[in-house]
Amino acid sequence: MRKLYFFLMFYAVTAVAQDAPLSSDEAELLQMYGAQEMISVATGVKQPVGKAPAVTSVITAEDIKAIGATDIDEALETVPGLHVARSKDGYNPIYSFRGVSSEYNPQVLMLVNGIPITNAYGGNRSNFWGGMPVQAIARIEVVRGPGSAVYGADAFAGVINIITKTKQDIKGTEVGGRVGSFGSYDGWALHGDTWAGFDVAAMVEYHDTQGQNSIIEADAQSSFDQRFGTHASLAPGPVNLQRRNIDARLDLSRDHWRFRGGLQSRGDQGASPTSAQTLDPNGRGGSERWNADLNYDNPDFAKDWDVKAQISYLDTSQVTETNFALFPPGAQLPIDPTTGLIGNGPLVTFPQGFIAAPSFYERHARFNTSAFYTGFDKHSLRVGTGFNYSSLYDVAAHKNSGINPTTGTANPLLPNFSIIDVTGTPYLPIQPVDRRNFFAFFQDEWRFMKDWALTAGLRYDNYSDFGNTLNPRTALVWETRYDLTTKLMYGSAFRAPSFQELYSINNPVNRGNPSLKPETMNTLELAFDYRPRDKLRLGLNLFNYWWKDIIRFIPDAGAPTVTAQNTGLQTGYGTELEAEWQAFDTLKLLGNYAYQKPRDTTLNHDSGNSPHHMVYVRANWEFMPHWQITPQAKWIIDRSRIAGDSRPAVADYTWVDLTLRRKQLAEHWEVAFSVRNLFDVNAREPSLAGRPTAAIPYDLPLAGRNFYGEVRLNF
Amino acid sequence: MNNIITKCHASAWMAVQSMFLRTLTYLLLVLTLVDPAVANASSPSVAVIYPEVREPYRDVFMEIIRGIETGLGESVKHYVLDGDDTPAALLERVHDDHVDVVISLGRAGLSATKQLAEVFPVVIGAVLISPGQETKGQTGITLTPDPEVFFARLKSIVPTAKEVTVIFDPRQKAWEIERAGKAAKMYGLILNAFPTEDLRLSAELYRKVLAQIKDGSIAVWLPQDNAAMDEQALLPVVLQEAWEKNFIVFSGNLDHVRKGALFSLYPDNFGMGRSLAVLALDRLKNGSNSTSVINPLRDLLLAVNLRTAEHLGLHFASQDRQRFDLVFPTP
Repeated sequence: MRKLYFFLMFYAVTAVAQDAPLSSDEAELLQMYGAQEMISVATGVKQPVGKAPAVTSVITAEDIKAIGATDIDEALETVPGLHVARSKDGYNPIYSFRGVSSEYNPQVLMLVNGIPITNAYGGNRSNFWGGMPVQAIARIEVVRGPGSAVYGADAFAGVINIITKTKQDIKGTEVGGRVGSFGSYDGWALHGDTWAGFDVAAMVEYHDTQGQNSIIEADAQSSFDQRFGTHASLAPGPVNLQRRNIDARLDLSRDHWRFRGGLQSRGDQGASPTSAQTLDPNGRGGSERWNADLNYDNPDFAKDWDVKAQISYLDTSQVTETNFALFPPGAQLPIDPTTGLIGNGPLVTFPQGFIAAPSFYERHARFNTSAFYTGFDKHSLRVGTGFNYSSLYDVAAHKNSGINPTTGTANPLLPNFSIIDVTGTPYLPIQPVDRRNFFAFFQDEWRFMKDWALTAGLRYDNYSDFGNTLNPRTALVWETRYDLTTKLMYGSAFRAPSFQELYSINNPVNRGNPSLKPETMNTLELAFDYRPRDKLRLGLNLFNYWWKDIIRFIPDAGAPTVTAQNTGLQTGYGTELEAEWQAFDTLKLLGNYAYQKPRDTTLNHDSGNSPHHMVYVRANWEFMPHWQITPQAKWIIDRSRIAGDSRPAVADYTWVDLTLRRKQLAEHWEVAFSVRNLFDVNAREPSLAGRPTAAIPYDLPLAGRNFYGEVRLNF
Repeated sequence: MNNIITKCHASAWMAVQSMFLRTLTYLLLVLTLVDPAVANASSPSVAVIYPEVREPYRDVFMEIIRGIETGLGESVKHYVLDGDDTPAALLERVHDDHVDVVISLGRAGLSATKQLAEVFPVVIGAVLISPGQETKGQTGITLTPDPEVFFARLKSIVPTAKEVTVIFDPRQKAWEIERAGKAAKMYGLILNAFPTEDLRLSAELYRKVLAQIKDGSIAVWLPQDNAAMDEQALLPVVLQEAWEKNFIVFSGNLDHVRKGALFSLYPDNFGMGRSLAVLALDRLKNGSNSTSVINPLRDLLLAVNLRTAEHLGLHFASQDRQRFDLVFPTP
């Protein structure tokens, strides 16, 4: 900590002494724009006007480049109150907003250009999310707190909206490549131009990595080994997070119309630790997301009417490429003769391992239209309606547990049992199912007094599977002073139960419950935006939320299974403080502090796993013309365990990255070098609690110190 | 079974790889077809001379060049100044490259082409320059915005505005204020212009002016003029007074809008590039008979502070908002 403090102080002090002088041309342009930052703003693309008052953070492509982020998670980690933890399921990201954390993380809505990229099966980004590269991202808008009145279902703890680049963002052609630790190779090509009267943006990104290789000391099989005297566990052993990604996007626009099409393909993806919290170096999965959307946006539709409409399609899959051994070869497990799953029964040896290879295929079609009316004095109205259709249209599975469809008996108890295909049988983990959702919303911004505005909105949603829900949002905005704005906001949000929670069957443990209701959250926020000095901005907010009808898996009476139930209440409060200071034209300092205190009211215990304190600091410093260095540090502090987990609290950590960039090398070239986890700290994210002990007792280790080098060519 | 699944997905993976290669091929094809630099690399007749500056300043020049290329309908030669370019070397280079007309950007571009302009067609742009002795016989566009565009915008945003007050440094702004006087008459505005030569006098003048303003009918104009405005001490006072007394402040400095001025006009670099291309084509067509004039910048974009607008009681329809090129505060 001391080392880091002196490190940052050194840069700050040296920066003061050596602010790079401007050339006469730079000085003249500066006189027009007033600040270097303004040139970037003015030469960038048009900023949208916010839809409703909210606590929002915007991460721009420039921020992403400065911090040296290569995946969206690294960019999101800079948002106050948001911590990216890791799931035991192949280290998938858990976006924990204000202490709302869960293993599958369906409480966060992730959108690409305003369209959900989340699936209906798990309500999240799927088991083979595989990250998201950042070269095609123009900006990321992150709403902390509820957004259901605007975005509908799952805009619950937070909303992450990824806006991809358009022709105006790319400005010509960029080709780039990157080589880094863990056998990581990236390549990308972006092109923006006008073609046959259309603005065209075409983007292709490729990523191939062996993934980080931290060691898991013990896994779920380790405890089975101890219990049954076997030696099957592969722990201690490295995690396997290898993957190969291809992202391709096309953006065409002309007049009021815009068409976007894209593919996010993930393949050869390791997911070890597996969902059973065991190591499996051989299993591979992948996912594909094909998307297309057509948008109409006419601000001059009629006098005082701004009309928008969108139709979109998303086809998404989650596919097992090479079977996963949830328990490794040689594992001995007790098998329930009635279900063929782990339970009370004879011990069975699995020579090939306990195999599970499910694949899920979904399609989503969406239509929505909205109108913004400004014809009334002191009122701005927004109305809209839409329809969403989500279908889990195909499920396939191979496994060697459960009931054998041919014999009707427990497969593992058959002599020389092997892997069986249960596709098209009642023994799938879930049967194909669909969902229809109709919605309508209304919002009015009423400027009832000078410097006072009241925004009130209401959204109605009807779901074919669980019925109706109404979500209001109100915000009182007071332009308190020349340099101060105050906002008081209340909002309610809902999370639709996922198909897995509603309809899961034949799962070794978890059972779905078709009578589930949505989870709900009510949030009260008070936010201040204060600009006490010319180049200093301070933001402060205080929040309190009540998360009700939490969907949890509750043990069934007299059975080893657990069933999804609406139970539990979590309350949370906290604060987020942000500061941004343009100390010099060539030096910007920014940071934030978040305090959050989530409490499981039902169990009268800290909700656990989320850090109570988070501190983030960053300096963007152009220390010589064309040279930029960006150190950043994040402290993750004070993470309690959940109720019933007797392990000591998760250790705090300080994560430091450093990125050095040389721009305009030989006019068109740019090179960068980045060190992640500079001090090689042993940082860990909490593993799932278990009884009597956690299956992975020593938590999930993050990557050690690693490096990459990057080259870009712009023309 | 395992193998079947693996094979099945291997073929899917190969399909994805083949699609990736096809996309790359398509991208390269598109680049070849649409990039004028690739399509017409052999015969440029216009060269753009500009200084080597850092990002994001460089983006400004690049955007202007894109506008020039669009205006010309073909690519241009890029001459990046590195400080070693002598007038003779420059002349030799333009002859060797068969350049017909040169567009110089920035102050360094202007200096480098000063002698060249005596013997070769040159159009100047992207430089803060007053029409006068320095630019005699030259053609181009200064970075100084045309006051007429400012007043047109003022009347469209605040039709009730009656007077415009400006405190200016006559050493830099005399021609601009003269032009503003004529523009004010066109729009039925009264222009109150107070000359000042130092910040102390400037502060005194602002104190008097602000004390006299009682309502929103008087607008204060802050031209780009660092001799009459102290950004650290004076500007916050002016903006705070404007907030408290509900009068309008508009500025030639974009950052002032972020700080609370109602609106600003800032360069439309792409549009400026197209206008420079028109001037360059005129030089090519008419040779030395073409008009030699330095025009104020009329290719301007509009930035509006919506928070200040709301405070002033200004209400914009969605159509109006769409015409704002930048709004503050950003969401």
